[in-house]
Amino acid sequence: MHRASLLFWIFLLPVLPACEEVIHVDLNQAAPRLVIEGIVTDAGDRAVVYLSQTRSFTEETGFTGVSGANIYISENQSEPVLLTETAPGVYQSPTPMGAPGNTYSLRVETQSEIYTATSAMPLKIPADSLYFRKEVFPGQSYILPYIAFRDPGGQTDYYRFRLLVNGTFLRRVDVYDDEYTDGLAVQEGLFYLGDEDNADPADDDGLLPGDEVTVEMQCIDYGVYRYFFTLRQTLEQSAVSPANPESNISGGALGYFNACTTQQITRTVPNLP
Amino acid sequence: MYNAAHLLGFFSTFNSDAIRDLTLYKGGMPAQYGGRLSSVMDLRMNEGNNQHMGVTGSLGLISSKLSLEGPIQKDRSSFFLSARRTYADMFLKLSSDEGIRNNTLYFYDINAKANYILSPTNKVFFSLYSGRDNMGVRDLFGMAWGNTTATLRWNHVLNARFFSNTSFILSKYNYRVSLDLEDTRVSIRSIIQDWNLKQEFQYYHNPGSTFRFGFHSVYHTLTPGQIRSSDPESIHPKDFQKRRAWENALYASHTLKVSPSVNVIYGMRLSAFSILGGSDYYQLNGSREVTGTLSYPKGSFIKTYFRPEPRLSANLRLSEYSSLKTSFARNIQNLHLLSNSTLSSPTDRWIPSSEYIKPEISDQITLGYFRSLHEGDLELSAEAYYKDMQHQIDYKDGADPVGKEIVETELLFGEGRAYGLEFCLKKPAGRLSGWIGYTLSRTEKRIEGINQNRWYPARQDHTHDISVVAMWDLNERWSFSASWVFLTGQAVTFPSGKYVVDDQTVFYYTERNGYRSQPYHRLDLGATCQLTRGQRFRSELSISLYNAYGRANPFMIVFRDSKTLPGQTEAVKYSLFRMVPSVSYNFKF
Repeated sequence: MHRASLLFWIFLLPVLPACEEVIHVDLNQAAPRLVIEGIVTDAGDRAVVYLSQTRSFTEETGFTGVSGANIYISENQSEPVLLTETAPGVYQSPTPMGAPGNTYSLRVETQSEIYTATSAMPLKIPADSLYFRKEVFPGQSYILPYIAFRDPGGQTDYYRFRLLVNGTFLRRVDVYDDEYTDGLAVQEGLFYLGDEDNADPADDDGLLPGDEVTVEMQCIDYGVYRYFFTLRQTLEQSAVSPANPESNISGGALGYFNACTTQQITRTVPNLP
Repeated sequence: MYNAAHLLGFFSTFNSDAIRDLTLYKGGMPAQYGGRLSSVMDLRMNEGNNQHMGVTGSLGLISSKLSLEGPIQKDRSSFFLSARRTYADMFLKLSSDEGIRNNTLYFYDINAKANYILSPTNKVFFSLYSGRDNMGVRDLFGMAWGNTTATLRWNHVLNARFFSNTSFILSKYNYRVSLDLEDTRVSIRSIIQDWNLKQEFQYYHNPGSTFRFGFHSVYHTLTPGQIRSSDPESIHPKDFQKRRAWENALYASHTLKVSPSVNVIYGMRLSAFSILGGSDYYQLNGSREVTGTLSYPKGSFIKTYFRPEPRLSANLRLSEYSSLKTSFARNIQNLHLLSNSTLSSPTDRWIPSSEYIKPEISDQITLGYFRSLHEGDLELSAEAYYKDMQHQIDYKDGADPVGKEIVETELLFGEGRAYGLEFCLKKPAGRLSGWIGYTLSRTEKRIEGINQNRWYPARQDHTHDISVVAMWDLNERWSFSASWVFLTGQAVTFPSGKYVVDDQTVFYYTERNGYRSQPYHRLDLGATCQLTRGQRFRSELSISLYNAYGRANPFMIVFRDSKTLPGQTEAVKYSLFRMVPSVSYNFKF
């Protein structure tokens, strides 16, 4: 139902004569806070954990790696594996890990604090196809990618999609739950209407024929779904009072720990009438 | 009335031609009013002239309206009928862009009233309000919502000092959102329906003593959501559990002239709110997770909240020109509005009190000083108030109520307080009239689970609120008006840092409503020119300019990666409606 509110805004914005202006705002300085991004997939890769810190608003945006932490991941209550730091703030498991149906536990020990999280990797639900449709919006028409899959019935499933165009990851969050489509064939449209972060106006048209589009489909657990769902709200700044996303990590860190299945479909955008 | 705004809050639901008088109670609300924590606006509709026919109308750029009134049977019965419609979408139709041409955007409303004098002691009124907003894009998205209220009222004179007033009211609010996904149409419908019965007696014991007592009974049926699809293979249909409740209130109040200089109104309202069965209710545990379902048979009482609401107001005349006024009022609210979007949205959810949602309570005290100056040419008032609110409700961070059946899991509870000082200097009559008002106030909330459980300013907290209104009649033909408002910027949540997750810049928030948006101020100008002033036909031309000096008031401030400086982040202010001129032609015959 997120789409209802999204369409609402797409509809309203061209109707309301809005004007935009960059303004100066004096923002408070907050003490740096730890950010954890932990990823375990079934793609045969090493598990990876990124450890960083928040920066102040006026600093350049970037990754402030936090070194020297002890990070462990265990699979189904087995002996925890110590991750090795391969670059400042980047920690990897010594060997590939990650299989559907298994539960993973993360433990991060910094000099002063301990943070823990668990994430259960769901069973893999296969993606069927990727196709494109032209949709007419007020002011412009767009080519939208649709991913089709069959949701298994009788259980709640959560999905996350990542979109790459011509090899570049598009900064956006797409998550889906099967509350209204349990056991049905699902066609999920990824509403990409141009990369607003990109200064290049040529990118404002969204997808064009000839673009190479890759959709990564992840099967995720509820905690990870909640994280990305609330992350989307944080990024959109659509709520009355924006807030930090709901993390599945305990101990007071920002970020998430995601054990997920992954698969990709790549297609070139055809000419559409 | 639920959602009393058209087009997301940019227009009022009330058509000014249809309203005879309006009373706004901000503090010291009399006992006959209840069910709300905030102010009550008591609107009485135009009754219609029972002597001769009349037509008034207005043709404008944005909307037009037409009213008709007149006798049905001279001296015995009359009617009033008024209709209004906006037509912004007619202009959209002229667009060369297909996407814009396919848009719908309008609202209309109709007010109708008829009254009959059956006998010198019996009078019957019937009134109807119906309004509807419609917006959407063909083959993509549609949204329609509206209110309908029908009232039947009977005034009966029992004897020269004893009057009875019986009303039967049916009101209905609904909205429907539809989406076209691929080749399937999905729709969400929601309805709130109220049956009201009101009985009031007024007894004039003597000129200094009046009693008013009665009851108000409302049967609420809330249908929070019905989800339907044209293709059940695409989306499962779903009906959210209905909520039924019966709200009753008994009240009595006494207006008493204690001495030539002291007037008091004291009263009591006893309210009872019963949650009724007929649907499934969810059981929650301490961490507000759903643990089970309980089904209750239709007509059974699940829980009843009884709440006494004492009311008192006193007026002390200090001299011929000055008086003091003080009041205390407790108010209870059992239907709660949940909103988490920036605009007033038709899909804002109303939920009744339940096992987990307690009735909201407010206690307000006021103290005011009133004085007339210059032989009544000027009126000066100063008023202080303090309001304490219990069982306040807010959405938790990251709540997603749209399309979700169970909202109790998304809510947090706490308390609120509001206090302030209001000053007003008014010149009610003369060629130059108007007022200057100033309010210094604070409105705060403390909700368990928000802002580390500390007090924070509510969204509607505006420290300073100034309004200056002037109306000037130049001559028989021309009159001018100007109004200026100033409000301290809204309390808003801004980031205090940033980080990167999944290659995206994410802002880091540390406190709720810890910042102030820019102040809001605006000047509106108006001029009216009488064109014809005949015995039968009168017409005038009104010209107005909204936001005359084009102030870019903040509608929304967002933070983003800079479009010009890579690696930097910036704050961007969006504003709406800079200088909106409007012209309308008004007539009356």
